[in-house]
Amino acid sequence: MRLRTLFRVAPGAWLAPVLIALVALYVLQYVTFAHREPYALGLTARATTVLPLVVPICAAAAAWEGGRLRRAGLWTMPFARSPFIVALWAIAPAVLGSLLAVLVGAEIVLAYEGIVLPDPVVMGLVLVVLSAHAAVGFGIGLRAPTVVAVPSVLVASFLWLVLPRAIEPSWLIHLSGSSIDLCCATSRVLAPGVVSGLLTFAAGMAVTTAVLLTTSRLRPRLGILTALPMVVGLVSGGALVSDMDWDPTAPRGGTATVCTQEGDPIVCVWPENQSVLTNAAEVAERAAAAWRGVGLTVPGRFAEGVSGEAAVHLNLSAYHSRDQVISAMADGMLPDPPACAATGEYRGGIATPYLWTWFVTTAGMSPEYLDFRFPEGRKPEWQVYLNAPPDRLMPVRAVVDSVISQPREMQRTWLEANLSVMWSCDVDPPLDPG
Amino acid sequence: MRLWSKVRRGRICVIVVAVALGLLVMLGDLTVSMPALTAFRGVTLPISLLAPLSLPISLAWGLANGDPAAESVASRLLAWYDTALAVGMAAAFAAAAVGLQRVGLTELGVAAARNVFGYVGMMLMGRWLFGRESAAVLPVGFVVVAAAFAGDTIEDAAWWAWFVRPVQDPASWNQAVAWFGLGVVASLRGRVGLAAVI
Repeated sequence: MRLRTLFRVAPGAWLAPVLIALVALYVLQYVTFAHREPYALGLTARATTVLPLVVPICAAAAAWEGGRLRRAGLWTMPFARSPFIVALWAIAPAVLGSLLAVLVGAEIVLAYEGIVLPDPVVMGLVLVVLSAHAAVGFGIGLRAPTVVAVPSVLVASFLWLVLPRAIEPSWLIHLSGSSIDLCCATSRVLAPGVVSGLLTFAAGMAVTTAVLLTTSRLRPRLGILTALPMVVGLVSGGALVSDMDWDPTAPRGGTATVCTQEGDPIVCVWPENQSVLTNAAEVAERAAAAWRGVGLTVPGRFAEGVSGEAAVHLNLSAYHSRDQVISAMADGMLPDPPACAATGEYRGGIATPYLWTWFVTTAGMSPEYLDFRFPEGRKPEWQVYLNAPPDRLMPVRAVVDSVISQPREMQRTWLEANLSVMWSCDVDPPLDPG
Repeated sequence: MRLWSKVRRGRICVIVVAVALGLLVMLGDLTVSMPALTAFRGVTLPISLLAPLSLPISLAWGLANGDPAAESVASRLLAWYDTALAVGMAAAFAAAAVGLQRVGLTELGVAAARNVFGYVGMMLMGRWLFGRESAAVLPVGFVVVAAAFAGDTIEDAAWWAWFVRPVQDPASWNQAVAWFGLGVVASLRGRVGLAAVI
C-alpha cells in the first residue's frame, strides 16, 4: 500500500502525528517537574505513563480497521492470504504509530540525561500491550457493528488500563501494563513476574483475537468461547504476580556496580552514579578513618545494592553533593529497624537522629548542611516521624557535641549502647552522655 | 411506529438505561487517579460518571440501523422520532439517576444526569458531523482525552472537562446543556455526516 493511501484510509496512521504531539506535550511537562536519574530503565518506564491515553486510541483505530473490512464484506470471501496476515497488516499502522508516539516521549526524557537508547524490555512490553489491545480491537471491529465496536473498545481499553489502580487485588495493575511507569529507582529493576504476567495475559488476548478472526458470527455461546482465553490468561497471569503488591520492581543485582580499584574502604556505585564515585571514595576514606578512630568496626566496603554486615549499604544519586554522600553513608551505618517497629512503638528508634548526627559530624559534614537538617527553632524531622513524646527527646546537636567532646573510649561506649538499643522496640536509648 | 421502534433497537436502549443505572449504584464513589499529563497531579475520576456513556453508544447503534435510502423519502418525520428517542432515553436516565440519589443509593446521581445530557448531545453532534458509524466516538473520545489532560483534582479540573467537575459548578451544566441543545438541533435537521459532505 502506498503511503498516501495508508494515511488516507488508516486512522492509526493519521492519528500518529496527533498522538506524538500529545505525548511530547506530556513529556516536556514531566521533564520540567521531575527529579531524574540517568537510568535508562527508569526514564523509559516513566514515559509509559501515557499508555492510558495511547493504548485505547490505538485499539479503537484497530477496531475501525476491522469495521472497514467488515463493511466491505471481505472477511466472508475466500482468502488468498492467511486471515492472521491480513489482520497483522491492518493493525500495523495503529500499533506502529502508537509505538512511535511512546518512543518519541521516551527519547525526549532520555535526551535530557544524555542517553540515546531506551530500555528494550520496557519498549518490548509497550509493543506487546499495544499489539494485544489492537488485535482484540480489530477482532471486535470485525464481528460487531462499527458504531458500537469503536467506542466500546475505546472505553473498555481505557478502563482496563486505569481501573486496576483503584480496585483490589492490587496485583491486577501488573497484568494491564499500567504499573510499568512505577518502575524504577537506580537500585531497582522491573520484577520478572511483571514481565511474565503481562506476557501471559497478552497471550490470552491473542488467542481471543484468533477466535474472533476464525469464527463467522458472534453468538452468545461464541461470546463465552471468545472471553475464555482472556479469563485463562487473567488467572494464569495472576498466579505469576499474586504475591506482589502494586510495586512492579525487584532489587537490582549488586554485580552491576562500578567499584574503586584501591583505597580503604572500597566504594561501589551503580554505573548511573559513576559521576559521584571519586567524591564518594574520598568521603568514605575520611569517614571510615574517623569512625574506626573511636574503635568502631567499619566494613571495608561501602556499596550500593548490597545488604548484610560485609558492607555498608549506600543509596546515592548522580546529583548528590559531598554532604549528601556523607548523609547516605551515615544512613548505611545505622541498623534497619526491627520487625516490631512496623506494628507498634519503636522506642529504640529515638536514637536514630543522635547517632546519625554523630556519624555525619565526625565524617566532616559542613555545619551549613547540618543546620539545614536541624533548623534552629524547629523540631528535628525524626521527632515528627517517630512521634516521640518531647520529654523523651533531648536537643540533638547539644547531645552530639557533648559526646564528641569526650574521650574516644567514652564515645565508643555511648555509640555501642545506643546502637544496640536500636534492635529493640521497648527500651529507651541511653542518650545522655553524662 | 412499531417497525421504527424495532429498527432503532428501542428495547435494547431501555435495557442499557437500566444497566447503566445499576452500574451507577454498584460502582458508588470508586475513583481512579488519572496519570498527570500536563499537571502535577492527574484528575481524580469517579468511574460511575462513565456509566452514562453506554447510553449514547446504544442510541448511536439504534440510530445507525435502517435503510437510509428508504428513510430519505419517508412520509413520517423520522428525524423527529429519532431525536425524541434520544431525548426520551436521556431524560429517563437522568430522572432515575436523580431519584436514586434522593433515596440515598448513589451520591453521583445528579452528576450522572448532567453527564448523560452532555454525552447524548455530543453523540448527536458526532452523528451530524461524522456520520452514523462514528457517532459515539465523539463523547467517548472526548472523555478519554479530557481525563488525561484536565489536570489536578476534581475541584481544579480544567473548566472544559465538564463531566468531572463538581455539580455545583454552573459552567459544567452550561456546557452539558449546550452540547445537548446543539445535538438536538443537529439531529432535527435530519442529515448526517456533514464532514463527508464537505
